[in-house]
Amino acid sequence: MHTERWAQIDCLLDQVLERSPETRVDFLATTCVGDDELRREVESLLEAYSHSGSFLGTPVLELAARQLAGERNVSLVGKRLGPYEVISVLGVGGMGEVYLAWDERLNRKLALKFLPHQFTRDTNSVMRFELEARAASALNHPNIITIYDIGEMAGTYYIAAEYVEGQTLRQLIERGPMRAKDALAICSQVASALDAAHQAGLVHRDIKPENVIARPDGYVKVLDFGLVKLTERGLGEATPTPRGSHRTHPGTVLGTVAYMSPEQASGMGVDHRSDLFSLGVLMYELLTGVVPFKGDSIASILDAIVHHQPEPMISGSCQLNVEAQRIVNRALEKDRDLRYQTASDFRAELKRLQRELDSAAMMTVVESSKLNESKPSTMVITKPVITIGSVIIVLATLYSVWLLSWKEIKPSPWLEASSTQVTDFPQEELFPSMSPDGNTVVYSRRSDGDWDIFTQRVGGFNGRNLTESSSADDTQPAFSPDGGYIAFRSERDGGGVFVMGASGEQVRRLSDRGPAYHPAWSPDNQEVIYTEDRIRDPRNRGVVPHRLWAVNIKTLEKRLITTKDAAQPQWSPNGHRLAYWASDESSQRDIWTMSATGDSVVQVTNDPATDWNPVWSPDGNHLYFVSDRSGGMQVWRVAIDERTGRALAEPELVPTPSAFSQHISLSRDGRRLAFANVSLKRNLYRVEIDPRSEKVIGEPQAQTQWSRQGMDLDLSPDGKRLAYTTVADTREDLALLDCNGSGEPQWLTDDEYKDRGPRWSPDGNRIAFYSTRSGNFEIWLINADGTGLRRLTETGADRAFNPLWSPDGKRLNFTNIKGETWIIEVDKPWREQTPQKLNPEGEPASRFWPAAWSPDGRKLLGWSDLNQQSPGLTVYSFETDRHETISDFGSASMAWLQDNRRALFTVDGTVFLTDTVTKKHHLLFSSAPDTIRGFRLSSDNRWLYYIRESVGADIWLVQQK
Amino acid sequence: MYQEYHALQTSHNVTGLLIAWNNGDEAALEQLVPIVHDELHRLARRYMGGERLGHLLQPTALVNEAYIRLMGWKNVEWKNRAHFFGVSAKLMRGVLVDFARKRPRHAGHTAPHVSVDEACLVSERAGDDLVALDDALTSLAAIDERKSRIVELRYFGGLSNEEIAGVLHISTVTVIREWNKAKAWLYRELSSRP
Repeated sequence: MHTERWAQIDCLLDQVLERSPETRVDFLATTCVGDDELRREVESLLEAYSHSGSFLGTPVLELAARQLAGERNVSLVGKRLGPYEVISVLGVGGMGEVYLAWDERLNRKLALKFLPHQFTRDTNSVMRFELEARAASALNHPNIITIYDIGEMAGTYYIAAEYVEGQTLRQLIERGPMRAKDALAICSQVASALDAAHQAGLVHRDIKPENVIARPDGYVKVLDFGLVKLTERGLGEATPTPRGSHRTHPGTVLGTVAYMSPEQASGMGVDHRSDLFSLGVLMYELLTGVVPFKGDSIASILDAIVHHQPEPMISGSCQLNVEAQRIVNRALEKDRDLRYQTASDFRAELKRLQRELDSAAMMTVVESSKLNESKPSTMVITKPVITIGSVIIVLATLYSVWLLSWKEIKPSPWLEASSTQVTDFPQEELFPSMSPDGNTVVYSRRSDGDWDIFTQRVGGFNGRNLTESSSADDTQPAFSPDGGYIAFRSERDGGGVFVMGASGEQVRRLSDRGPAYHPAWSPDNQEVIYTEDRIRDPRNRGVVPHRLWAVNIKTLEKRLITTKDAAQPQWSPNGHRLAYWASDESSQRDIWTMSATGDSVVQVTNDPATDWNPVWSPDGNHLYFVSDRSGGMQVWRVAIDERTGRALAEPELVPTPSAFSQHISLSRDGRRLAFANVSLKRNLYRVEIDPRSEKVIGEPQAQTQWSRQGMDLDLSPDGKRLAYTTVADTREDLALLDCNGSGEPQWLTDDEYKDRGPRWSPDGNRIAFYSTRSGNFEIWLINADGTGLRRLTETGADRAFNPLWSPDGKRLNFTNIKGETWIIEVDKPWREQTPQKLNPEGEPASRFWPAAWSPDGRKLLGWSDLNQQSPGLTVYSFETDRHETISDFGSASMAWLQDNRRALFTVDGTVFLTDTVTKKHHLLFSSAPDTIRGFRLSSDNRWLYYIRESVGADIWLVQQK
Repeated sequence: MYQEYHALQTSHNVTGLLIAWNNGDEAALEQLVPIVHDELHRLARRYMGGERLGHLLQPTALVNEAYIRLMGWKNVEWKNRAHFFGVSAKLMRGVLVDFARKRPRHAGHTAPHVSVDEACLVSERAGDDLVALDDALTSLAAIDERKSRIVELRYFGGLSNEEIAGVLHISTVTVIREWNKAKAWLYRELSSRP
């Protein structure tokens, strides 16, 4: 390439980078008209630019020096240390190396930091550090990194902490000054972390860009509380006093020194206000790209901190207003009594400025002279003298701070609330939705064989049926914010989301026919959002991606908001954000928010508990949700910033008189909460059938009285034992049980991982299942006596679910996240496998979920939604390599009869027998209204074992006093 | 004691070699490598061994000290600070890339295996990272000398943006802008390698 051409590209790249990311594409398109090569060049550099954040981040010499010195950072990768498997190096810093590691016990990534020996020689200081680090972690603050474990391994101290994917502020600053908005958001989160720590009596002492990590979603985490204490003694020795004479190396950069407070720099005692000074330095640097106190040596930097006023903040690319300068000035006061006295004061100012920025959406450029006029650029400050008087002032200030902060912590108004049972019908009443005035509840219940929507006055006992005229199921009602309409899901006319007047009049269709569930309103009553995913049990979901739609109730115009997983979406009161829940790669269910257009996704909860059913409080200050985080299913709420969708605190419990609450709804004043109080039982039943007459003989018999819930059962080939998944809170383990329900269950697994879908090998010796024990779901094998656990697949990001044995026991098929079915040989190691993909060329196989091999091994029976409107049973033939649709209904639970022709399948509580040739189905028996959750047929086709789920649910109301 | 003596003995030699190399004698680098390597190794051990604190382990300090010890600041007629930094960064690049290049033939040798990118964004495909980076940097120099120098000073010389600004007589903002663009260019170059 010629230099001139490069200069052209380089110059254009500058211009593009100055623009906001959204406008870059258009700008390039107009600028590069007629020169596609130029556009491509700049685009590819932009692409590289977006990825090159931490690239070349650490000078090679630093890495080389450590390795030359025989440090361990290369050798540890791939090694196992206790329960940790080291995956890669995350970084090397002054305080030791940090690795990304995998915790095999708890099945999670974590950051493992090893402390250099010289800091850990003194046992007392290690203990002090440990106390402080644990105390900070115990604050459970969303902006403070969580410490999992501190310990010693092979003579080296380590800290195992939450792994935060993101960049340190140092890495972000490298890119130059930040947008004022982003910088303020970061600083106010750091202030929030400091506030919590200071209230607990903890001072960080080392706030600097290296110690703050920003996640891609904008969340920041403060690291290394207490760590600096370990180095204090040493630092004192190595750091020359500002007045002392000393030699400096040319060009020495002193990262830590630049963030010190004047009292740290002059070796005086440090209190929480020292952190606020350091945060001021950080804020200055984020806004301008340079630190306020500069110098060629430690001494000159320390001297600047103690004596000089920083230059006013002026930066080419970042417009600042007087307000930001005033806040920084106050934080950087030499005299700590003149600074912000608490982190919450500091934060309040930042938040106020943030709000102003948002509303004004602009900042005024201020002449440097104007800012400068009150103070000379260099000002000598006399060294503060500590007197008893000033100590008393400090103590008094701290006491008042404590009093103030004490007042700010309000007890939850739900702690003193009364509860009322609203409905008391047999079976289930679900999906309560409160009218805005809180006096009426609409809900669904079964009436004359189908689900209808009822409206009932709070305090009354009789509901009025709003959908009596429809014989199809009507569920999931949602009051419009003005109380005039009710949106709901109906199975009528091909199914979909409908809307009617609040008294049941004028029913209209809103969505297309097909999957459209959980309607929710925009605050202006204009649009209804809905998803394609129907949530019955949050712990049991398909992995088929679902879409989130919005439809205008007047024009019926639809818009696709996102194709991301977004279950049970809810519009925030200001209309800007949507809350929803989603399953991540390891099937963790968390609450998220996104903008109303589907962008800027923010995670609200992040833990192994199942968090679902989010609902905004009408004032937008809280997000209510349902979670099993403390056992059972309870209502929780988390303080939230409605504008950004970020959590502001840890979730708190909203007490309800229920062990299992779901489907929450709030009145407009936020003081009444309606929910469905669910009682759920799952037990093993068996019933005798006659395959010839295709009839049931006798009554079904309950085999168990479970307290733990069972799912996913499979019968041993000899028909004597059952393997199943037991579910309790967040755990899912495999167990074996005698078919007659006698004896104790024999646990095959007993750990934190999710173990699902046990399937006996045809010889009855082994059990295949899928499990998260290696991270994502993979297929595993275990002997029926609990020995010989081994992993069968290594699919990585594709994951592997639902193993099924071929009848000869030699092969096994599984399904991956893309919905592809693969067949492998059971007794070959993964490396020697040549997995065979089912139906590689034919129809889009991604919608076929196999459930059973035919006894002759020629066909697979499965569930498919190739026909999206009416998913049902499909038979895949290995001979013709084609799918054949058998039914347009049915769930994923099915079994072949021995004749290779007939099969059983279930729909809710009903078992059907189907002939796959004639495609005629008839009802074998029904346990309705109870649901059948999986069944197995004995190999002689005489006994049907199934898990029957009986659910009762009533609507309850909790009211604040 | 021996090390100090050793350093003293070699200093004269090193100065000559360095001047020769700086004047274009590539063979001089061959002889410089083991000497600089030994010195770096020794210094690194001392830094890491606890004599100094981690806070003070700064790459520039390490290089500079290596230099001063090897040649003696006073023994060399440096035109200015910038000249000194420039040459030291260039030497570090030469030495470290040479290590990386020779690594396979020196099994068991303590040559540094250094990944260009700790986050492993590129390294999987970049193979011999440092060698690849060195090649890419040479290509960059052909079209944009200034960017290549900034990378050399920062990544190999361990200089800060402000120091680079001083050496090259440009503003810090320009250094940051140029550095970011250079990184993007190199990233693209390295990730598109077969």
